[in-house]
Amino acid sequence: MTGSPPVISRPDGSLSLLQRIVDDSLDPTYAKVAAARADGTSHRAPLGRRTLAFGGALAVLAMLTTVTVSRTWQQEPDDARSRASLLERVRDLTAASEVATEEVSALGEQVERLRAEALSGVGADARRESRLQRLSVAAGTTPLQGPGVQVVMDDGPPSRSDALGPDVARVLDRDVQLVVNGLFAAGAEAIDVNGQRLAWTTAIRSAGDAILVGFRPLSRPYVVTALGDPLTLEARFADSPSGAEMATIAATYGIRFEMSTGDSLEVEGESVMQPDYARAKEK
Amino acid sequence: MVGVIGLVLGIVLGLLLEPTLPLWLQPYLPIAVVAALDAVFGGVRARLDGIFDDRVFVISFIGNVLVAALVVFLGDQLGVGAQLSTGVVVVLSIRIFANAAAIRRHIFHG
Repeated sequence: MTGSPPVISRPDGSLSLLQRIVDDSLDPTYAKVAAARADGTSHRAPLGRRTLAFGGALAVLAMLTTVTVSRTWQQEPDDARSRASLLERVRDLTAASEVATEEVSALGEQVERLRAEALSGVGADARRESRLQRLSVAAGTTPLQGPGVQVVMDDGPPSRSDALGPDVARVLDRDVQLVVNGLFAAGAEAIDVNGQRLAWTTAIRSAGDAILVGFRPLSRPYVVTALGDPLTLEARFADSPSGAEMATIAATYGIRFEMSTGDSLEVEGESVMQPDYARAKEK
Repeated sequence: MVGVIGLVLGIVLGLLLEPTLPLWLQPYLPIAVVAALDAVFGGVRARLDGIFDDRVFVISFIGNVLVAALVVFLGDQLGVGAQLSTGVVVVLSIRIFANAAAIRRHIFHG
């Protein structure tokens, strides 16, 4: 040891703490015992015992290390395996849900076809068929096409101004609800959002950062397609309170909001819940 | 020489016996290893300084391991186990580095 180190007063106390750890890295007891030995007050242990102590300690250290390392190695494959099995499950379930979705649409087509056959078989019950068609159009189960307007909404560039905080230039579920409600009020007959038709059970809400329409998460940009009179729909929406509020929101927070009319737009159909228990009230 | 024999013996013992540690002890093992490592580096440095003493060494070895395990155990009970482990590892590694540097100076610069 080099004796007591010179005491340097530092402006920051924490550094002297670190310095002390470095200075005292060798147990000071060694120096003390060595000094005692030099005085003759203590005797040095025989070489054999010294060696044994050192070798024994190293053996214990090596054993501890080996056990710890081997345990870590055993643990890693376990973690990797559970991750892999989770991934596999996700893939399996995704594939299964894709198959099921395909089956649903195939069965839907089959139902359509059988119904058409059955109705034509009954023989010219054209009134019933047109009534069915009208009902399914109204319920939102059939894909539709026609003139209308298309609204494109998208998140703005992130955080234009710090005063507003982060994440304000984002389209929220409330904005989508506002536009949809405004369009319905303006006379839209059928609306879909990113290919998700709004039927009578469809909810617009958010989960975390994602906007869900009919429990399916949407990805940006959000395209709202509304069928209706192209001459009045846009103007009536712009004049409505919803339109005014949406314009304010877009201008304030820097959200992209564009509206255009189209002659031949399409909206998807949506499978609606079939009532199993509810019956029409008897007159 | 003795050190090398001890190391090899320890590794062989650890591999052959594969002692199954009780589960409650396992979280403290890594910290105990680092503490033991610190004691061993201190011992080697003392040896090169010519002031090695077996009693001091063994006591510092066992004491280091026990105190390190105890600190982590206490930290676990208090809910700051991770932070205390980090603190212990930081302090011990600073000491290990300082001792390793002293050992290096001894070996390469007489």
